[in-house]
Amino acid sequence: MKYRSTDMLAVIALTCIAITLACTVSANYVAVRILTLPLVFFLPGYALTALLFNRQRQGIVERVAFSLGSSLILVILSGLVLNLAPSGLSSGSWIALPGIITLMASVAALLRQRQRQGQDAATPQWTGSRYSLTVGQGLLLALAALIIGSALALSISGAEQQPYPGFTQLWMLPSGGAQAKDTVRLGVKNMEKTTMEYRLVINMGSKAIKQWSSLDLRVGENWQTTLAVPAVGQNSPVLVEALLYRLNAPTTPYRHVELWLAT
Amino acid sequence: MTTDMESMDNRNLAGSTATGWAARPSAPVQEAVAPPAATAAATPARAQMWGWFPALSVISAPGVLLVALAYEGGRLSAPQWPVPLFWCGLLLLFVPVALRLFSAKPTRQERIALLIMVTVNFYLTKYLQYPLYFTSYDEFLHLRSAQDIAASHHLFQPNPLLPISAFYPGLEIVTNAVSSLTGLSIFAAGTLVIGVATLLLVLSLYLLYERLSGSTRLAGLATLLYIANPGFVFFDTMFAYESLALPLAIFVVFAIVRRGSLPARQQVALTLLIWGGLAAVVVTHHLTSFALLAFLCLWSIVSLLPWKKTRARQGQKQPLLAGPREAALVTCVLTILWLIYTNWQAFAYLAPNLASTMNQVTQILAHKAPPRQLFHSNTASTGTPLWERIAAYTSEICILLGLPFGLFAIWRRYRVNAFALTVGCVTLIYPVTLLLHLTQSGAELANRAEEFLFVALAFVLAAGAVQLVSRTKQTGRRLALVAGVVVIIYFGQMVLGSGQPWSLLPGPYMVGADARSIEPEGINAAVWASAYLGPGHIVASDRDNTLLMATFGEQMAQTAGGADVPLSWVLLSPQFGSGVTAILRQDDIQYVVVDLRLSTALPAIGTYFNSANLQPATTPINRAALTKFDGVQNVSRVFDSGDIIIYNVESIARQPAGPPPTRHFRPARPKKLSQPVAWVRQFYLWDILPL
Repeated sequence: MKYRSTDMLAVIALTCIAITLACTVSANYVAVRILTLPLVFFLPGYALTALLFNRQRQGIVERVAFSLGSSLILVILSGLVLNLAPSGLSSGSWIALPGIITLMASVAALLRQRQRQGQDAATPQWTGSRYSLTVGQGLLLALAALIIGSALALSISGAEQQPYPGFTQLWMLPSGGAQAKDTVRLGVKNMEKTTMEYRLVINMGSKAIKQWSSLDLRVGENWQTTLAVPAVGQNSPVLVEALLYRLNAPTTPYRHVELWLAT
Repeated sequence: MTTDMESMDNRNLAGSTATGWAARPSAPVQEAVAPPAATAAATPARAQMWGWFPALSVISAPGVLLVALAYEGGRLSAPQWPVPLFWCGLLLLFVPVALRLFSAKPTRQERIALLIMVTVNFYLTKYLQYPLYFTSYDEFLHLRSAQDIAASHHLFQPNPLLPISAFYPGLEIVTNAVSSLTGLSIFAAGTLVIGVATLLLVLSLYLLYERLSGSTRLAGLATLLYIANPGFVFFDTMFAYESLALPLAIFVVFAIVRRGSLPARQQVALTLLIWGGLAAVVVTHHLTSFALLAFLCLWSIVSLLPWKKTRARQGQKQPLLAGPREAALVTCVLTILWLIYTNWQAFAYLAPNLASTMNQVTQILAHKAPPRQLFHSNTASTGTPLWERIAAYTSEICILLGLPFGLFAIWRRYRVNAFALTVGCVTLIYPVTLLLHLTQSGAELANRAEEFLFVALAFVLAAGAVQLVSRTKQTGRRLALVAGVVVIIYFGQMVLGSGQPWSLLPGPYMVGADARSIEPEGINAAVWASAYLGPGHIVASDRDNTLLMATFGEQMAQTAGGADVPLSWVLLSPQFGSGVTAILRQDDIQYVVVDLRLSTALPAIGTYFNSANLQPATTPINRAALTKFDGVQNVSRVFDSGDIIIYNVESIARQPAGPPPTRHFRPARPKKLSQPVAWVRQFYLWDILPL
């Protein structure tokens, strides 16, 4: 079979597969959905290029460049068009517009190529074997890929484990709802390098209204609570204060937040 | 019957030089591609086809590993070895490939494979620096636009970090398409988009140079020289609109040149693609569209030169749509239409920088201000090492000395080619941009310009280099000399592009150091704000926490101030008084995010805030100024993570206004301009008149 017919059939098949995957597989399955990538970067441009350069002899490098460039152009212009639609730039619309354009261009290119099959003696055939590698060359490239793979692994794991000073978050917000002025939400999050033991004291004015004498939080653990405070006076706002202490330094406030409860 | 793809490409080139005026070398180049019959007769074996590519890939790959090790050393704060390791890695990525590309022996396939390998390796070099999330300042600006599109499904949402970014959404559109279809995060999708764009840039450049020169050797060398430009590794690979617009622009220029080799009847379809490409460039980046327009106009003018006309009359039948004139016209129309549609915001955005540059140049020429100190570092630590300075200066000297050789080669071989002449003319701008580095505002402009200028500069220098080694016998000494110069140019440009020494490697937190200031405590504070405060609050903060609050925190974070009143005063003021209150009210600030670490050091980039009116900081912010909100009635301290405190100032901002406070800064100037006339008036009053 002629190379151009084969490749256009492959484009149609890949587009259909990409559309099917995008429609049926949840976006959470990135490992599967990543197979739809060619629908953005390559397939639309390849189909358009096949249509544009139907009778032109075009090298593989030029075809790849035209495929990438045309795809990006098509996606950008599609985005402007999709913006006019009520659904905007959503997953569904991204499946529809580039997918339909790719399929239409592929079918048109295929039909034109079939019509002219045999007329153009110089229509190239697939010469993939010319671009194949010897075993030795393949091994060398595999070794290079291995080295680069280790560099990637080193950097990603290094960035994930980069040493930073640990910290503890303390926060206090008015609770929502009708009883907003009488209720507060509190939270502590341990982002230190080790399990921490805290003591949390809530003051209102100069008087302690609540205390948690031992809060043990593991690394990354989040603690939250809602606290009802005594009724707020009518004329002036009241200050609620939360002081967080580490048990190994019980007299020095480690974190400190305060909230003005409006009248 | 099989047709060799290599020879097919070669025939295309031959065809272009036979029929197209756009790419016709005046004399055959020594390394010009062989005629198809010869190539077909001497079909190289598979091993010869790829040549040294597999071996060089193994030699270059450790370069990536060395760079990764250097980054790891930076993360662990290793004292000495990371920086030399980094530079060794970069040299290993470039030098072996450069030496091979200089040779006349590699096939076209090998050259292209080597260039793609170098591109991928350099892209990885940038990616490995911060592989988990965006960290560069510019990347955050576009991340916000991408997040807004993902959340609203529509374009043109207001971006508090970079308002103009919302009106040039090409990059964010493609990122949204990838993210929506694959389920990838914006970071992963954006990284892929920029990777593909970089690949497109290199392929288009190679094909453009090859069609222009008819030489695979010159094309390969020129593309490699382009890769050596200071912005390629460190700027063009960022998630920013120029990183996509520039490859698209180069691709469109290549398509215009390619169209010249087509029969007139078949040009219409490609013309539609070119127009689509021009539209994509125009909606992706303002500066790239202006530069493309300027280049196409210059190319159009050069193509009208007398000897070109004479040549046309002598029987060169020009195809119907050949040439850049119609493309220049279309670009001009599209650019103006988009400027009108976006309310001329690009001019309002760019004009202050241009005016400031002009102002500073005038001041320097009049000896009223000293020139900018090159390689100056704002940090207390050491500045740029001496050897790096020497490399940078030597690189620039090599480029300036190489330019005349290149221009002579262009004139000698390609003077009937309008495109080549245009490229030659463009390189004359380069020395001017070097002078702009002596001004504070101009340095940024010059850095941006170099990515465009190097498209021309690389071709001219490569033409000079190839001519130099081709004129006489290719003695090893001459080859070594020219290859050495190319390596020096590359190394010096890398030094220039890498910026301040502290920005070379990842490492511990630094004050006001963009990527080095992005760390878990700030990110977690922003994530907390998004989760517990909800998105969309107006938040005031310093430069780096503004980025985090606007992206991870989804807040309307700002440092500039709603009416161009310096919001920084909220944090800089030593006391909580009427001035601070007035600004909070004027900008409807709901939360103030204070980073106590700002009081510990001067900002590495010179300023704590992102306001154009601010002078570089000379002393660290007083800690008392940062903690002045404590104890103020109705100002709630709602979040504390040790270094980062978040205050709720909504009650202050919503109280009825008292008497107008005394301001110590210049009056507010209107931010949004409704029409061109108003813009011209503002530009004159604020920017030209002070000059």
